[in-house]
Amino acid sequence: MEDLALFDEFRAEAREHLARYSEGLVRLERQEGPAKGEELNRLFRALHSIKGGAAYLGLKGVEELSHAAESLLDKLRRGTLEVAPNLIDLLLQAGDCLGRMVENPEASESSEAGPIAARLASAASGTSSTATMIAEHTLPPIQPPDHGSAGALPADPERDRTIRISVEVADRLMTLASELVLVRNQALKKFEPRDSSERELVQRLNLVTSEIQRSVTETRMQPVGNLFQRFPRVARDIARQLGKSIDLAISGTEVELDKGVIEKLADPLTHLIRNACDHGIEYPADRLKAGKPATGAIRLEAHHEGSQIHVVVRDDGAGIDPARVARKALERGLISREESAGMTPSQLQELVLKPGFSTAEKVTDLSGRGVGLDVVQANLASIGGNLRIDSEPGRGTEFHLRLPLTLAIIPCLVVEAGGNRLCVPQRDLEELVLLDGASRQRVEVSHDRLVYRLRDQLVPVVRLGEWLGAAAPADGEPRFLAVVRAGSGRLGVVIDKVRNPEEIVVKPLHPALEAIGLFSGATVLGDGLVSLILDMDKLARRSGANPVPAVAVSETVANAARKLHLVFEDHAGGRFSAPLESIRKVVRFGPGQATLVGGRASLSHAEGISPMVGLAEVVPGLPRDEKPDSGYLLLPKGKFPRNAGFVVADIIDTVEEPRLRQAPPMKGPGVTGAAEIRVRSEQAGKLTLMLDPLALADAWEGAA
Amino acid sequence: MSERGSHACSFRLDGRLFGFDLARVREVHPYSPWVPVPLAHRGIHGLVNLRGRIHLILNIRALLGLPEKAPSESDLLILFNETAGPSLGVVVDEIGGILPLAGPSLDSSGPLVASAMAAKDDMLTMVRAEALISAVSQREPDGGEKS
Repeated sequence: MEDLALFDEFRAEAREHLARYSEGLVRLERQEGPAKGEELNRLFRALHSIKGGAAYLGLKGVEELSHAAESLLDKLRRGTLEVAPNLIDLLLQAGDCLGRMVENPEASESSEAGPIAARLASAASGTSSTATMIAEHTLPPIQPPDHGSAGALPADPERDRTIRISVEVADRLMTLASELVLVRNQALKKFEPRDSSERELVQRLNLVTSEIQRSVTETRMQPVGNLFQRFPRVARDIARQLGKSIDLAISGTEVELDKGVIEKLADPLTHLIRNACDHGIEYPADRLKAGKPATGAIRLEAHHEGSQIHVVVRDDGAGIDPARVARKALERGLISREESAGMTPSQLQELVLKPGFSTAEKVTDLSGRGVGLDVVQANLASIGGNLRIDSEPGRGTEFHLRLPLTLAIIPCLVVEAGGNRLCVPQRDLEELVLLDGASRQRVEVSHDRLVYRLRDQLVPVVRLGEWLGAAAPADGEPRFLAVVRAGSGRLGVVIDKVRNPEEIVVKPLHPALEAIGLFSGATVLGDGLVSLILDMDKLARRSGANPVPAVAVSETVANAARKLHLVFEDHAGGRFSAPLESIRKVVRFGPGQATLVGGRASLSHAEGISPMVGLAEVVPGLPRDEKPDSGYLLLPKGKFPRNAGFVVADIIDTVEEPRLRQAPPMKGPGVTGAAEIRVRSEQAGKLTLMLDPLALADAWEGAA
Repeated sequence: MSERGSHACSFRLDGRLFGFDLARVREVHPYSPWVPVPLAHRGIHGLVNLRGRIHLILNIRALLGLPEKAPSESDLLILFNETAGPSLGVVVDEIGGILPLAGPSLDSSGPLVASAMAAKDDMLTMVRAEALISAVSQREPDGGEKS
């Protein structure tokens, strides 16, 4: 039915208008002068659009209520009424009621709408006790619903620059774009260009395909501002309910995240904001006593870091008192007295994340919903994120969330075990150990289990290939031990080969394969073949190798904070390292694979064509080498217009970020330092120049 | 219980004639190599990417108790629509064409085989496509490494 489609359209628009409306109302209280006038105009426009749509669709109730609210706003706009908290409350209530009516057309004649409209009208006319600051006594001007005073307002400039598409269409585009990439890859393998015109054709196909894939991925990205905009309202409501004064400041609203991640983030983040208002910020009297301003401040911010998004909720409230946490945890039997004695203050604070913990002294109607921070943590874990607490008693608390950019695409390491090609999500991977010679001996049989001695910890080990039913490979073959996070512990997984890191498009696991209890999904790799994604929790459970649980939280944090660096050599034998997270891809090349594009040797790969840039071109003082005909091309993370890659001769190892650094023998943009780095195949460390590929690419692309 | 659409999509395994209800078949696709799934049910061959969608390819020989045979380029994949299960297919030796379901039939009580039916000079065994998925959705006993 046509009406239904129209109604859906109206509803989608009304939702956005109403979100902007509540957000604007909350801002209004703090604004002065021209900014305030602008805000009132925006609010007026939002309501007016809703009113117009409702009139067209014959939604009488919506039309009348938005008209009543509009009339009151008009008074505020003209300055005949002053902005006051109780008026804002009333306008917010009207917005909520409109929201409910818009979501449910049957309730369009909602019973609550009448009284709210009446209160709005009496406030606007200045006879109600709710509006105590009325300056003059006039009746609201009667406005015909279809051409109100908003006709004189400037049009909303953002309207014409966006279109709406359904999620199904967006998802389908994503699938088709991935398929196009695979077809392109396979076509390139079969097709050998004979002359320059053919080569140009192939390169264009190449570039256009990559560009399409990138653009389609972008359509799924949304600014976190869409989610953040509701929180000032949440904070304001709680503050008024509890008699507190809270100011919520927001930054980083432009940071973009996959739609799926934003949806999954909404509940945990709402919980953290409520928690900060309810438990974090103190009552004004207590704050003054503690020498703080009466108004509590909560900061909500988002920013990029590597391939992750960080979201921080910080308050200047009471903080988490370790002694009180310990007392509660003992009362609730979460820990024993001996355990509590051995814990550091920050370990005690982390206990608030345990199931069954709530420190609120009295059960307000905000908390006491039986939901604790453990649920927040579990929700975040389900989308591959995590939560960290940093709290200073008396000064405030910071909740630090780390999230993947997208659910649909995750960085993985492609590995081989027992002849199977499997994907290990990078977020599960702590480190990779080469098992040969001496280190191989360190996989030992202890009682009935396999363990590996990793520094000062024993880690249970699963030999993945053998466990999946394959024969053990010959003794001389070097293998790898992947140390992974499984649940809250660690597990070592022996794999046969490490192939390459790859950003994969995750597809749901076929339901018939769920019973196997090992995989979390599947993907199609660059060659068009399917690969399964290993779920480490499930592997730990099914293999019976209990992950070592006793890793102190602080230690995991410290480990997570130390980045992995890739160590490599150029063709002149120089040793370099770069943070692994700054490298998007490593492409191997051999003789005859480079083509000349605009006079420069370039390499065509699955993500386009990259000019091959020698390190000596960007790092001053390095010996120049001859044009190498084989080696690896390192592609930096991020978008560079020319997609430059750096030529290296060999990949040596991955190591933890060195602690001790020294001044680099040569300086330049992109040279971040130097250090003695020892790789696993060598006895002694070698002087290694530490590079930042992103800065190198910036420098080169800027100069070119 | 007789499961009877009006036509069968017939196929052959070792020369014997089998059929699926045509209403459950989406398409017949040329052979495409699959990736085996470790520790999967023996009735599962593996996963294959067909036009961007991952399909689960079943080993219908194992499920019907026929002798195993190495896959060959001349094999065909019968892919089912959603009424038989999500993104599902089987490997067959050859396609026998579309046959009307008339003729005398004998119902079977087996979980997979629906009925046997005379079709011209041949005997057509109807297989329940919608029963395949539950036949393979159990875990096989652990065969893992014992250390």
